[in-house]
Amino acid sequence: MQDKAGSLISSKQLIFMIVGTQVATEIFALPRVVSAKAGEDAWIAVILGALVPFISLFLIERLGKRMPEMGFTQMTQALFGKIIGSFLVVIFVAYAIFFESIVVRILAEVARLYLLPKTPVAVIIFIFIFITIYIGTKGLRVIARLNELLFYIILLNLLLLILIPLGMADYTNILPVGEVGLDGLVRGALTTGFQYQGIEILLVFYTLVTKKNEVLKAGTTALAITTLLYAGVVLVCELVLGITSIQKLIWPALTLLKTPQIPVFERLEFIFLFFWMGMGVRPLLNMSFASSLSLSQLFKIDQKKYLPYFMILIGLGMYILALLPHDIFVTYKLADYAGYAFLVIGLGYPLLYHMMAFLRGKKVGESG
Amino acid sequence: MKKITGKPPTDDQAWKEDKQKIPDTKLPAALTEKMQMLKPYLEKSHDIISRPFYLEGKPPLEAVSIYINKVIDDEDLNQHILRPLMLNCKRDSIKELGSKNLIDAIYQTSITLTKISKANTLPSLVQNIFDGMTVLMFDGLEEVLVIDMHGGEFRAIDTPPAEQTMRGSREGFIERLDINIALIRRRLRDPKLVVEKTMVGRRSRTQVAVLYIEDIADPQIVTEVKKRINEIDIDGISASGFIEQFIEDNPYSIFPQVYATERPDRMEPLLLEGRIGIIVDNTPLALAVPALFVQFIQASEDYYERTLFSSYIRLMRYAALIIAIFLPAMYIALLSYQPELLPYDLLINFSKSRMAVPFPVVIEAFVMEIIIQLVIEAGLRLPNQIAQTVGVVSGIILGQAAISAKIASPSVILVISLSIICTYALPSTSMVLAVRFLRLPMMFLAATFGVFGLSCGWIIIQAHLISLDSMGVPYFAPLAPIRFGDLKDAFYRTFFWKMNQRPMSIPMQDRKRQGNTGGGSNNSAG
Repeated sequence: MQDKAGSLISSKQLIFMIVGTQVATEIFALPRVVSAKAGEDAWIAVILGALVPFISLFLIERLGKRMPEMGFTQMTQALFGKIIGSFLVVIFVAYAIFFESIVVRILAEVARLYLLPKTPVAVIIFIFIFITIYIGTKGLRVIARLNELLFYIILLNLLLLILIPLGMADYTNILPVGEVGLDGLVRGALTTGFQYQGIEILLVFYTLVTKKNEVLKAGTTALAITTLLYAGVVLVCELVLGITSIQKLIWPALTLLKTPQIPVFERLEFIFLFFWMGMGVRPLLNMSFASSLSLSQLFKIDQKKYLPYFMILIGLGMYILALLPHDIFVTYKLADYAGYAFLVIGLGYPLLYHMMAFLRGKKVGESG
Repeated sequence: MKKITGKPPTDDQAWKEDKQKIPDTKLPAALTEKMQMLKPYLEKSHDIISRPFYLEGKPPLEAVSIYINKVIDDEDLNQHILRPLMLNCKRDSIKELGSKNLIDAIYQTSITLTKISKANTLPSLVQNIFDGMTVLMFDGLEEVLVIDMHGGEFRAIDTPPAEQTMRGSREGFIERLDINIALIRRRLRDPKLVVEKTMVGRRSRTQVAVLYIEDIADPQIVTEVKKRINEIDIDGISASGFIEQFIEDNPYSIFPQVYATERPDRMEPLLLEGRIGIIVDNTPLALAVPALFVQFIQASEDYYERTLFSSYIRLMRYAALIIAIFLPAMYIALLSYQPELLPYDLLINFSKSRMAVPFPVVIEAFVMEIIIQLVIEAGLRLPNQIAQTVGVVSGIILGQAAISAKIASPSVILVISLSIICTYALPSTSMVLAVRFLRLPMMFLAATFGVFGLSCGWIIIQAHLISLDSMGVPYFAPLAPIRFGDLKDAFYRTFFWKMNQRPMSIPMQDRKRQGNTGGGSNNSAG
């Protein structure tokens, strides 16, 4: 009975895993990125931007319904044949590694800035990846439960981040509403759309969910939670800091923590940074697990036995990629590319698969 | 399921056959022959007493009783065996009942004890003697009578020293298995309460009882527990801790995965929640599986006092757990890495008190922590009077001297002793050990990476706890996987009349616990 529970997740856990993959580093830079395009209406743009992952969710869910029993790798190979299929899976894995290397680099940069100014960033990244591998080797069961627990802890943290500075809010900062016009809103929304990356893990996790008919509901809930958190953080940043100062900060959301003066604790950062590891480890874990699972399916070998090795391999890849950018600005340049890559993986892949499935007709479903 | 560790290599056949070294022969009829056969097993044991006597009649029937000194009840032997057999047993009247069943006739007419069985082979005879039975052998009869009248001196039922309560029962488990089982039976008169006894230990032949309520406990877990206990192949068990270490799922974890208690009134609710109790002879600590992490923070007092206070004190205990693990580490991290996170005045106070100390905070805290751990260890096994002296010397003199000698600052002593006090605020001794163990690694992480190190330590502990299982049941259960229904008895304790369901975290057959709907209405409006 344990083996069965060890390789499947409940639809509730899926919510936590999607939220966990999405809400990590993007949230700190989000106010700057969006308000550059959408000005005072950034928070509206964030809500509109959620359409992108919603479309992605819908496409992936339909795709999963077509072939519910097949994992990502099997599905790809069934649709596109051995060679092209394997190629597509490898691209997906490469994307995951690329995306996570940026996440881990930003996490490490924040940790260095706030906690360990003298430690080389390579060491901090190493610790992140070491812990990811340590937890990842314990299997999906632990990853899913950890996501579940961390969801509540991080949610509390983010609520703290949103609610405590509210006392210093100045509502005139978001006025006038609608100044940027439709054009600015759409551009802002598209920029935010990139920031919702993480939904694409559903490609891999769909088959692992026990109740397939609840996937759409769970995904919608997860996206709604993420959207609310994003919009909340952006709104509070605007209210407290104003968009002109937001533009001058790398991580406006973290600066938010410095503003309120709290007796005894002095600074809110301590609580927030104490849970930093929990914040960062979730997307790393989920993504590297998804890609190791896909790889082990690609090579058709025993998942339980070889998953740790793939985990280490992917961790190594992440480590090397994360060290490549010279500084944080290069990292954010790369993050933009990761955003475009998200469009390819999150929207392009499902569309492509749907088209292929349509062309192939019902044959695929029968053979699977 | 994990493999049970400590299994002997399977090719070790010689060791396995070792058990059958007593030749499996039937007993002869003549008493002298029987004594002759027994002689090699008994002659080297001077505590085994054989008492020959005659049953009245013509001719008198020769008999011998064999028993281990002080393992049986002397009074019973005299009053219920020797006296009736020697004085009242009329052989002629017995003979009327039929010479074939003479042995039945003897015990049915003349022995006034209840637990009697018969044996007719040499191995069972020898084993019965060493199991502490009284054996009666008669001349001319192949069968022997085996009478269970364990007795002798035992510790009386006493208050459990490690789990005292103000309002609960004062009874604690003692070393005798039968008494311990009776203590639970007295509290739980359910006919569905199952007590199954097995034997563990080739040489010690320790009795182990498995207790569960048949229509609550999950049968899969019951079978699993029994399987794990039966797989234990060891020469001797001297305490229930042996069983615990053989049946636990993750031997490489520092967290206890089997709940040990010395209170029968703690055991009873555990059984009612579908857990399985394991009581080992000669140990006053009973075990319960599956165990959950939150269980080690709950004390039986929580259920005896009223809800609001119990909830308050339980929340305090969680705070104590966090302080005990993280406070010294936090002190190190904040002082040596992130002083800007401390309030300014507090920081000045800390640095002032540290001014004369020549070591960095890390060394200071490490030294104090190790000293205090050693003081605890020194006080543990000493007799009470000396332990008190050690406590006074270490608590007052050592601390004061360390401060005056400028080896430690008052703040570090405060921090370390606070975390020690918080450690002992936890109700479970096995969890106390885990927490004591965790503090030093956390301090080490804080010393290397500051608050970031603390963050790492926290996530590693968290992931480790989540990955644990107890009998295949998630150990960190009401928290991850989160079960909101069970939180009512995790961080706080809700009213009894609201606990309609048994905890979901433990697999079981029958969820409904009680049918009261509203507490207030039960008392007032009715």
